[in-house]
Amino acid sequence: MDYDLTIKKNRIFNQSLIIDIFIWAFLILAALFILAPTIFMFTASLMPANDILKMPYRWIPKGFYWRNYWQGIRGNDGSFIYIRNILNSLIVASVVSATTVILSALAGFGLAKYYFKGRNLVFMMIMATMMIPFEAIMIPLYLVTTKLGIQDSYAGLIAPFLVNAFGVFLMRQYFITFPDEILDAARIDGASELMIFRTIILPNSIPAVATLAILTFKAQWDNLLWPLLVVQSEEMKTIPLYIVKFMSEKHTDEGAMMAVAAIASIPILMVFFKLSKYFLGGAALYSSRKG
Amino acid sequence: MQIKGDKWTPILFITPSIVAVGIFVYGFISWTSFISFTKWNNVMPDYTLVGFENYRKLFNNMRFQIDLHNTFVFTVIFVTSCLLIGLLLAVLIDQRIKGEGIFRNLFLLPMAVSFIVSGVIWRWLFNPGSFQLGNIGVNQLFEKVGLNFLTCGWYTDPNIGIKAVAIAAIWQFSGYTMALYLAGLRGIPLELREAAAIDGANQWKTFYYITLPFLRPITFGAIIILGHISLKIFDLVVAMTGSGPAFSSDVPAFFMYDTTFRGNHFAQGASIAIILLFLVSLLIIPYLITTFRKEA
Repeated sequence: MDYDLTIKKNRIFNQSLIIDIFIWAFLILAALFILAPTIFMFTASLMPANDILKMPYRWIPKGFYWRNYWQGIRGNDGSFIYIRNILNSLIVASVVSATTVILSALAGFGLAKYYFKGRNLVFMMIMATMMIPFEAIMIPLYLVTTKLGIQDSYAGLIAPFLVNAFGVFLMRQYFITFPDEILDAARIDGASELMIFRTIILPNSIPAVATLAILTFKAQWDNLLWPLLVVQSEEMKTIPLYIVKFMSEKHTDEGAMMAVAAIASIPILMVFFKLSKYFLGGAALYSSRKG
Repeated sequence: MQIKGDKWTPILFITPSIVAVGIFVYGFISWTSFISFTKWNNVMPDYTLVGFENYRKLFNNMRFQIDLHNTFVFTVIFVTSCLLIGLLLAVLIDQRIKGEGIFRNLFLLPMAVSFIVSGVIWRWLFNPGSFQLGNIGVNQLFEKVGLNFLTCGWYTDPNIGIKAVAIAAIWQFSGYTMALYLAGLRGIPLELREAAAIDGANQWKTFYYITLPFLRPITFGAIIILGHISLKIFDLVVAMTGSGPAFSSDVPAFFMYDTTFRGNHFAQGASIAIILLFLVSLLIIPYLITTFRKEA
């Protein structure tokens, strides 16, 4: 009797060229459906508004109609405020990512590698807040922010996001795999705890740090709700607020609208193509097969 | 044995996060729930306690009833579609075909796009068109392939409303669900399938009796992640439609924003926030319990 042990891995179908072609065709079709909206955004951003509405949609623009981008950046009022708004998003997202990474790494390290009473309780209390809706804390946050007079400022945009429970969780899960022996060896050699953190822990945690930095950056880059509450002036608006404003203006050109959306997406898409695995929030969730 | 390091440093490491979470999360949740029991439905704060009055009014509010219904419809459509599409794509990618890395990245691509941007795109794709323009966007596609009966007003049609928003959300998250399942599929030990093969199970049986049960924890995790996204959905609604005709695409998060910060009904807003928190905790608590069982 011979057993069929060729079904290595998860194959449902026997390996055959015809079935592979079918799978391929299906996946290509699915990929086209998934890509179409994004491609639409980019192609429409390069067409005059009249062409976007033409009956069979032309997936390849006739030429590069850069005026949409000019119009999107200039704004309908000609104030070029989008440039300032992009800069605001950049500042807020960068500062929040940096502080989140540092504070989460410190707390994650403390919770992973030191043994003290109530450690699990503290971890559980932090972890429980990971998915709470922002709505549940937003009213007091707004009241405090206005009381302190930091609404409509970078401080007001940044402060609520300095610490992030998800970050602590991610870092703790990563650090817990570090062997204690290495840390102890460093201690015997006279390293201080902070030195251990800086020279041993952080340099060996690039994947976790990159994941957290990218996810935090993206979350702030895309954040709408909080800026919507605290920003009042055009100068302090961030990208999502500009998009909402531009969309609601009466004479907004469809092509310029798509150009504004494309500008907002390009930085994240560029990072995505290079570092897509970090978008999934933890290497543990993402195992790629070799060979 | 652990060599004792300096005792105070770890405390210093953890304190900022504990204090921040303590005040900004637990403290502020208590503050929100306190406001939800007061009379503060005006510009000026009014901390007179009125018990459950705000909740009673809320559940009698037609808009909120519609919102809960919309959230339910959205969650069911969004979560089940993401799970089914995600599983299908993951299983197909896992069949050892050429170019799986490319497919994986392409399917994940919508995750890089923000809700606001995808709202801008889908608002256009679901454009109901007009008499002069004729059908555009998805409607035009339907017309082209002869599915005229499917053309509709999308988010401008009160019968569709939130479902149009759900389609945009499915577009963004089915690739993510695919990645979750793919990681699960890769985690199934080879010995299990070999054992099944020796026992004479064919590939379909192996899939049904071994692969699917093995993926159950992934499905559980995905339901929690996707479910809490759908309870909190806000950006996509703002970008696509707002409340829509007859509140057909309104959601609790949007109602909460609207009533609190445009209408100054702080107490009513706070009570919506607490209900949202309650709904989310229905998802989180089972998740926390299973996670800690694993840890302990």
